[in-house]
Amino acid sequence: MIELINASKYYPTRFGRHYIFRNVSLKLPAHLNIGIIGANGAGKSTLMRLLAGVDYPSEGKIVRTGKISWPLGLVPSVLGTLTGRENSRFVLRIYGLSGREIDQRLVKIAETADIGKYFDMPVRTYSSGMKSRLNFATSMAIEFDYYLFDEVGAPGDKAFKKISKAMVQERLAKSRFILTSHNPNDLLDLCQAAILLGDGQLRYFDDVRDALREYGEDIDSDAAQRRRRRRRQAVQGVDDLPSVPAPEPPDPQAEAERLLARQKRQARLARQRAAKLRLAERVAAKSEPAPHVPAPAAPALPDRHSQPPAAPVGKERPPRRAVPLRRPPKKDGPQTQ
Amino acid sequence: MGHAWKEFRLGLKHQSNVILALMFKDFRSRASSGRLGLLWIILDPITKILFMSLIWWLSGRTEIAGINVALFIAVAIIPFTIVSRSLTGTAAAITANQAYYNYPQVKPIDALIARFILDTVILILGSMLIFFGMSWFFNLHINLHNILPIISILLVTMALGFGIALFNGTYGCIYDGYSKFVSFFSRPLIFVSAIFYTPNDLPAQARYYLSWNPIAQLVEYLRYYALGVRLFPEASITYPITVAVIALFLGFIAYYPNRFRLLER
Repeated sequence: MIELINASKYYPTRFGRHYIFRNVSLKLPAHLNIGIIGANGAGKSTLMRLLAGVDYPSEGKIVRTGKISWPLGLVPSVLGTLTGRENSRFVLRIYGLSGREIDQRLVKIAETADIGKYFDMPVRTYSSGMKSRLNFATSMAIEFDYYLFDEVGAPGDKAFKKISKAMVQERLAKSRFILTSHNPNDLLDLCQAAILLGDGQLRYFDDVRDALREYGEDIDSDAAQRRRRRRRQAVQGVDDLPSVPAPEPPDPQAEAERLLARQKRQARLARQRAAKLRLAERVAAKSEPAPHVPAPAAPALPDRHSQPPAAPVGKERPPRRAVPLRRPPKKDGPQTQ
Repeated sequence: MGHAWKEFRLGLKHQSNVILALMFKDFRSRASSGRLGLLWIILDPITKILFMSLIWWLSGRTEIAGINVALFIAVAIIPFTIVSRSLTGTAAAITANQAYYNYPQVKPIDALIARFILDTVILILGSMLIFFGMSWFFNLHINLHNILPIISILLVTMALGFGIALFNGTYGCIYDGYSKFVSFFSRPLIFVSAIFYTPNDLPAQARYYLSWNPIAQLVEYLRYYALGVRLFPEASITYPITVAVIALFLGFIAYYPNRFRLLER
């Protein structure tokens, strides 16, 4: 369990104190995975370091129980002069594992990281993706109650993302994850609750979707949902050619959803068009005070798009072909009379 | 009470894990950075011993206070090296492990402790080897019943060294010029630490000033217990112990308020 008690964090700067958050009391629920959202420089990594116990709050305190990982991410936590194996051995050692256990887990780390001979080469020769593989594999070799992931997957390739996702899913039974990501889909996949950082404030949301909406992420539009569905497919798909999206098996529910969404979309478009029309009508009525033209004549305006709403009553309809394509309707009105 | 004790033991276990891991790692990186890496820790005092002995040999003197010159200097070099190394080399230990402070249980002081213990242990073991080699070579008798006082003297030296290491490591990390400043001013230290002479040969006034140097005191006590050299009249073991305690105190006072600043660099 992690609890913040009247905690504040600020950095002294030339322009006074720069607050990340101020006077926050918050108990992070132990059964939820939590996403941390915020712009660059809002303090996501700082909050991670605070939760991990690497850094300390400027005021108040943070009570942490349970085994919490170090903040995995872009911050270097390996020494470039040592090999991957030596670095991992060091980490296993500081977590108090015995010699035999360390050897066993090193085998597992080599397997997960899957960086071949580079595991026995100095880390300074690694690419950033390989470093993040090593870091992830090392953390997975130790059972934590909380894993803190700070943009972990970012430099990884597709294969690694797949593996890491599978491992994270497997760990979910026993462990919780706290992660930051600039990809809202990562957060939506894993997290239930969220913390939003920004403007020197820390706000907790029970629902990660609310936090993302507040942050201004587009998660509700059809395009976003389609993207998400495609992504889920790519991750779970079995074929190794994810660049070609596999045809989705006919899922009745998804089909129905899609149909419903399409209908809604069409209805919305129709409504918008009708509204536009009404506006134009009003404008026309104001600008042309011709006494002999009665106001109800306006609905007879030719409309190429919406058939149902514009049903003229009483008058004979003029032939449609006479209407030029993009003419404002107010000029057409009198002409057709 | 029981709870606090449990917490304390757990903390101790965590910290010893970290220090051991850092020591293994330091040892490993020393050993892998060329053959000289490990040897250099001993090679440095050996060259000092040879150089100073050579000066005496060239001037025609082979014994000081009835002891072979090389042995006489070799004994003094151990405490001197422990302290002088803490004067300058420790800020590097803190910065070298910067990447590991991302693990919550690793703190700069652990890096410092690990480096200090490793260096000192290698130095003492190496010096023992040299010491016994020499005494065998020059056919000297060693008083084994004095081993306890010898260890105590070495412990006091280590306490003094660690206090200085903590102080200088902290400020050496925070202020860039600090280490250079210290290494410049500690250069004449080797001349005023009674390394290659005995204070008994000096006039009373010089002895008085020399007695203010805790390293000289420790060197003389070590010689007294290891070689049976007569102590000089101003010798007092309480003085270096007091200085060691004060140094430890100052070291922690320097480290504690700056412990987060060291992390942020």
